[in-house]
Amino acid sequence: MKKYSRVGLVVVFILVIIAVVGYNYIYQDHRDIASEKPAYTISAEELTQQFEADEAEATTLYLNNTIQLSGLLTSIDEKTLVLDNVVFLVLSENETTPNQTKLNTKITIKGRCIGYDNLLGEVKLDQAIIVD
Amino acid sequence: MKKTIFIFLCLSIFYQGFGQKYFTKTGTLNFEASVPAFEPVKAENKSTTAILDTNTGKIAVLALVKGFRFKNALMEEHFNENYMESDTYSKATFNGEINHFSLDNLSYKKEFSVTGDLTIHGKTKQIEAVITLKKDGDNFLLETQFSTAPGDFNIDIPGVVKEKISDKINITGSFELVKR
Repeated sequence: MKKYSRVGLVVVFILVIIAVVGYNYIYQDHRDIASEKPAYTISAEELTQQFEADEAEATTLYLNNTIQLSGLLTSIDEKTLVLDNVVFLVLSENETTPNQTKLNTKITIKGRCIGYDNLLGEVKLDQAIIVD
Repeated sequence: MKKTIFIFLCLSIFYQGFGQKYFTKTGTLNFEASVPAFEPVKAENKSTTAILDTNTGKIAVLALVKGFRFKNALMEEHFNENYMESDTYSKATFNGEINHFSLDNLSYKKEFSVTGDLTIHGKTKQIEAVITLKKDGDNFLLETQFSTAPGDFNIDIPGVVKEKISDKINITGSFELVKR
């Protein structure tokens, strides 16, 4: 009797571990771009030029990667920014939008590349945070 | 002098004909393929580009697949890697035209039908959808709702999860278009 209950206890323990591991796998956290080290550091203009020159190659290189960009802030909207008229960024939810006085000043920003918009000729990044 | 005026007139007509474009970079596109009693399968893309040519009624929409955000991170990963293969097919696009387009009576939402090519997962299919259009000050508000099927775009849903993902995918879009 006592032996059985010990076996039962071990089985329950294993099941609990499986449940916890399974739960953590299914409900894992999203990537935290803010804490990731950038895979590439490049200027906004150069990034777009690379997409214009060879979209397929640039996509393989940059898509879904965290990129640190520098350039002039050419547009500031609610939660979105444009660098050098060629890179469009959606700010991370917790990030505050810079003041309009920052327009046409140099900025360094980090975000995840989600691809190239060939309708407008812009590279798009999301979850962006301002570095400097 | 007459010649210059003529050229000027021609140019302004040219501009009228091709310059009336309205666009957005922050259009919202939602899709939902939920099945009752299972975890909702839905995502939102808030950075969809849309362009409307108000002279011709032509519409172009482009959504970057990686821009679709899910509540569940694992679902987002599966969506990108297993179903949409977004590393290879990074875009979902629509190119079409509003049927019987006119700019009259747009102070209230007016329904139009749109025909065009929807490209998802590298496969193009001609679709017809209903949109509503409304003139809102200087802007246009374009909204749509239609449904499509994963099978139409060569997207295989494996048996294990088949009952958790609806084979009818509802897509809604909302675009506030400003003059370019």
